[in-house]
Amino acid sequence: MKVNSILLNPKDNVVTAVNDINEGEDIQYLKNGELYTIKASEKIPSYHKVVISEIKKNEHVIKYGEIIGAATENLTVGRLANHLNIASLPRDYEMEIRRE
Amino acid sequence: MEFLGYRRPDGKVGIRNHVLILPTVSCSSETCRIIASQVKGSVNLIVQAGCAEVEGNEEMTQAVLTGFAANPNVYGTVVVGLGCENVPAAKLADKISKITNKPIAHFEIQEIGGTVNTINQAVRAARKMAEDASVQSREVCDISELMIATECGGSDATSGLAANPVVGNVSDKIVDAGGSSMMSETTEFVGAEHILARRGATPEIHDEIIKICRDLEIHLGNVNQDLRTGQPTPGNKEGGLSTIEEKSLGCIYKGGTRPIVEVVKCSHIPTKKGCIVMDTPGYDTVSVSAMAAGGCQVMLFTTGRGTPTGLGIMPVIKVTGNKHTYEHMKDNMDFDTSDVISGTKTIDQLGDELLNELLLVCNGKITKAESYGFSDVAINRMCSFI
Repeated sequence: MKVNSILLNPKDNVVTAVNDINEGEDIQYLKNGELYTIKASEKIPSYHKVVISEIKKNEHVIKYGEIIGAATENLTVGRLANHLNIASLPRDYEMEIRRE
Repeated sequence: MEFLGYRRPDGKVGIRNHVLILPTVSCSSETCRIIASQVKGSVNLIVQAGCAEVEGNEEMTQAVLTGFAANPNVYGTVVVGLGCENVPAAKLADKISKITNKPIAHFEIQEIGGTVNTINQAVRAARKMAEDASVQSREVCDISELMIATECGGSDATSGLAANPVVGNVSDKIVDAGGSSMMSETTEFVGAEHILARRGATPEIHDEIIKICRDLEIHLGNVNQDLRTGQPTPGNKEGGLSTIEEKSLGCIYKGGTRPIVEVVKCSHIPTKKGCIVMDTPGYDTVSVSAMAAGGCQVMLFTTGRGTPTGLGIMPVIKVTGNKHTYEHMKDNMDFDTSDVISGTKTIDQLGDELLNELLLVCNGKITKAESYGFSDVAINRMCSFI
C-alpha cells in the first residue's frame, strides 16, 4: 500500500494526487498518521484534487485549511475537483480592514 | 552568515559587477544592445516604454529605469537616449544621480548625430567603466546586506506544496540573520490576503495589505475586468490550480512567516530591513523587473510548469517542486524541491540546501538564466500610450 495523495490540513475536504490515478483505483492519504482509502470515480491527473468528503453545491471547498472556492455542483467522494466545478468567491475587503 | 560582494560608494553591496547600458526609451534600446555587445563586462536592457506616456505610466517607467541603475549589482551606468522622449538621457542621468553616487555617463543619439557616432562614443565610455569595474574585488559582507526577491511564475499545484514552502523557509532564515526578503504580485495575494495581512508588523501594515488587493480589484473593475477571468491562467488550471484563492494560498508561502515591516509601491526602493511586500501585478516579468528596480540582488523564482526567464542585472534561481518539470526542463531549472512531495526530505532540509545554493550564486556561481544571457524586461502600465 502506497500513499499517493496528500492531505494538507485535517480540515480539508480535498486531497492532492501526487501521480496520475485512473478511474476505480485506490486513493490513499494520511490523516493524523492514519491511512485512509477511497476510490477514484474518474481519472485524476497528477497534482489535481480529489474530493474526500461530500461537498454539496455552493458549499466551500477547503484546501490548506482555508476556503479555495465554492462547489458549482454536488461533488461526491472520489470526484475530480477542478476549475470546472469550483468557483472563486468575491472578497469583502471593507470587513477585513481593521480601521484602527 | 556571510557572502562575497562588491561594495558600492552609496553603501550598498552587489553580487555582480555589471556596467549597465540603459536606454531611456524603446527608440534607443537597439543602440544599447550594440554598445553592450562591444564591451565585455557590460549588459544592456531592452525597454519598450519611455515616451508618449500618461503621468502614471511615466512614473512607473522612471521608477524602473532609475531603480535598475541604482541596483547594487550595477557598478555604473551608461544612459543612452534619443533626444525627443519624455525624459531625455541627461535628465534621467540626473535623476539616477539623486539616488546613487555610482559612476554614470549619458549620450543622446539626435545630439551626437546618429547611432554609429553614438555607439563610437558610448563604447569608449562603457569600456573605461568596465575596466574600472574589473579592478574591484569581492569582499566579505554580512547577510544583512542582502535583499532577496521571492517570485513565482508558471505555477502548478506543486508550487504550493513544495517549491514555495522551501523558498519561504530560506526567506525566514535570511530575515532571522538580519537580511531582507521581498515578495510581490498583489494579484496572488487575493484570496489569501487575510492570512498575509496577519503578518503585518503594525495594524497600518495589516490594512495596507488588504487595501492593495481591494485597489487592484477596483482598478481592473474600472476597465470591466474581473481578475478572476485571467487568474488562474490556463497553465495554472492544467497544473491543478482551480481558483485564485487556491493559487494565492500556495503563493504566499514563498514569503515565509516573519513580520512584514513595509509595503512599497511597484518598483520603489524600501526604507526598512526585514520582510517587504511590493505592490505589483501578477505578471511575473513585470514583478521581476520591479523587484530588481527595488534593489534586490538575487531572486528565488519558483515554477511548476517551468520558465526560462531572467534579467541581465539580477541572477534568477529557478526552483521547482515538479519532478517531471525538473527533468524535462533541466536546461532551465536550477533547484529541485520535489523530495518534499515524495517525503524523502523535509522542507527545512531543502531550505538549508537552497540557502547554500543561494549563497554560492551570491558569491559568483552563474544561474541557468544567466548563462544564456536571458534578460526579459516588462514595465507595468496603467493605461494606453498617448
